Amino acid sequence: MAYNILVIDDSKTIRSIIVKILKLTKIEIDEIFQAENGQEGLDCLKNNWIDLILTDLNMPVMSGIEMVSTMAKDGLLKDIPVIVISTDGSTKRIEELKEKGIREYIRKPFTPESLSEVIDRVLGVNHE
Amino acid sequence: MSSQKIMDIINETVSGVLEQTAFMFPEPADMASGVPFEDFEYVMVKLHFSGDKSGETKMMLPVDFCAELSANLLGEDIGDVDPEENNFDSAKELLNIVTGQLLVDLFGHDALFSLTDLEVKKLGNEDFFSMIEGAEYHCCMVDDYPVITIFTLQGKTDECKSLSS
Repeated sequence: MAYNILVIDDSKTIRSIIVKILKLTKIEIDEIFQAENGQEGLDCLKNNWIDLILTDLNMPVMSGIEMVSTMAKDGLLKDIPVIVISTDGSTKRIEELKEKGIREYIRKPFTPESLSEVIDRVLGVNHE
Repeated sequence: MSSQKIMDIINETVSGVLEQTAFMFPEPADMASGVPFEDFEYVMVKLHFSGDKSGETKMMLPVDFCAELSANLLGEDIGDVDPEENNFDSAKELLNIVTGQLLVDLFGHDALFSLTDLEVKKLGNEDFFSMIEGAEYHCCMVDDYPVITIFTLQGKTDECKSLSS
């Protein structure tokens, strides 16, 4: 199965790094979509089938938390797995996000290996 | 926590983030012999934090360093990276990651913060020197470029006051 993945971060540099890592993994990818903030992410979700979302938290226009909260109230979007990638290291924040339904949390700075492992776990992919 | 302890933590954090994200290896600046600050044109990035504590982090980075940082972050040759599109963005992201890590290293995982008002601007020579004059700053050298970090806490609580004193 090939996956459609949405990468949301206001930093073009970070989006480029994540896209590069995704292309280096063994995960079969159909298309990688990119958005600069939560609102653009929601717009992308309206128009495309997305299997996995990788999102930052602190972004202008709409934060990652606001986007996840909006998705949680939408029957069509609430089951799309979300991995948050952020500099925020607070356990309280991570708990809050997990209550809102995110699947995993990765702190920046991250390694390609750690990102790849978490994506495999969330998608239930086994490369062996 | 003493000022020296805070400087040690800033040193470890900045070094760790640069090593892990950009494969850059900072060395301590030899302040006694003098650092040639005037040889460079600088970008200043600033980020405000609030929550259990509040304050701001600033980094002053030579423009040419930002170009190398972008190339290293992206794993590309320096000539292949669009400076307009990436250099300021990389500087902002470096500060973002350094601040997030610093707050954890200083206050632990239980503290809750919001990071806001990320700013970036080029500094003239006069502005640069007025910013570091009298300020308590951390400076390390990365490939002969000075990388300067200023971390300030607003003295809202006794704990903050003792931390910043």
